[in-house]
Amino acid sequence: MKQIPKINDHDKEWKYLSQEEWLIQIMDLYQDQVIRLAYTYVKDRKLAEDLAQEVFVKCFIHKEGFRNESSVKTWVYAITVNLCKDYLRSGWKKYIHVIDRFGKSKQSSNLTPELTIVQKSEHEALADEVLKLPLKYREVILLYYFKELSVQEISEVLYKKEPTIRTLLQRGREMLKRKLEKR
Amino acid sequence: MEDPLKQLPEILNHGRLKSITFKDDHRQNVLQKARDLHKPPAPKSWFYHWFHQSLSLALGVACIIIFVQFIQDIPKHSSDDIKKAEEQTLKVPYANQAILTKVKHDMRHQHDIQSTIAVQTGDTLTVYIVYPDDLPSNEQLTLTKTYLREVSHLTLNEPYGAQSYLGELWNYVNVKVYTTTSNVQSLAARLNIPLNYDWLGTIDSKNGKLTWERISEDDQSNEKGILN
Repeated sequence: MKQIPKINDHDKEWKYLSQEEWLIQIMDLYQDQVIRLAYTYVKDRKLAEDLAQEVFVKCFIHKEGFRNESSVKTWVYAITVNLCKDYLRSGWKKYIHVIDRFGKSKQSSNLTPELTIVQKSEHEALADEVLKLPLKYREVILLYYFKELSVQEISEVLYKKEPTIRTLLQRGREMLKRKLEKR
Repeated sequence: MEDPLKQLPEILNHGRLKSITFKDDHRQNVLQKARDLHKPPAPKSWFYHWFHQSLSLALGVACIIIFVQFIQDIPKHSSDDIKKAEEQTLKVPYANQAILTKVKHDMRHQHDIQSTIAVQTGDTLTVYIVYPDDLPSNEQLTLTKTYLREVSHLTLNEPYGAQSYLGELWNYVNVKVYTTTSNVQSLAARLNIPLNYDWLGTIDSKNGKLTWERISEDDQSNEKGILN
């Protein structure tokens, strides 16, 4: 099998790759990051897998539209975020979500609240609370702390102004703090 | 104190997201989809073409049939009919129309009249009265006179001068009354047949007197008179 040279995000070598090589390179660099980011939005493994595949196909289709104004990472994340939000907005998702919640509420009734709390470590509780935040705060917190993007990069991914991102970050942190204190 | 959120990548990547990875079969799916994008579309089977063309043809024919039926259902109006209808609706001032409606109402309730239709052109009022088949001609004559008298009285009672805003009213009206029978159905047919009676009257709106004259092709003994 042909070996593809590894290229980092800022290399200019991207344009010398064939289309398929380019796609493989993108997947090598971002596959786990994309699928995990998708998971933080949809909170479902299967869906995250499907969405991640769709993200890479979309990247492949819109490859020519990438204008080097941002980094490849920001561009791939922006596609991921948009696809996940499209999915969350879709009527089909709402329908599935209701059924899913109904099923989960039945399952969770077997565990007592005490047992649930004991089973979760402090770290788990933090992760749990982050994933329970409202979407607008959750995505900013995750992109900043989990994906370690700068405020400027987050503003490019979410198409929002930097002061807005800072405000959302601050409010998200406060909300999280309050929730963790209540535990 | 260190911000616990800074540990978030470690917490998530080694915690609940640890098992969420992009597997090799996912990569293969993506590559396959990417390759498929460049593939020319597979040639369609003859059945597909046959079915598609038959369906298109059937839909086309159905649309044409529906369109033809729709066209056939639209009632056809001759230009004469339209013109007459326009005259009826537009040229009869509504005060005059009110008088005629009142007369028509009275006549239909008190006498055996099937229908009356009035058309005004300028200051000439033309009235068609439809009598039942079995009504003797002398009865028809009497009823026609009654009708004319009714119109005359109502015309006299209407204070024209004071109500000029009501539209173009009768100052001097010629009234023609044609009497016919109910076997003549449509207005167009009524206009074309030779008529049994022809009454020509003139109403003077100042004194309300109707001077009338019977002109009949069958009966040469012309009648004349004054109604008031």
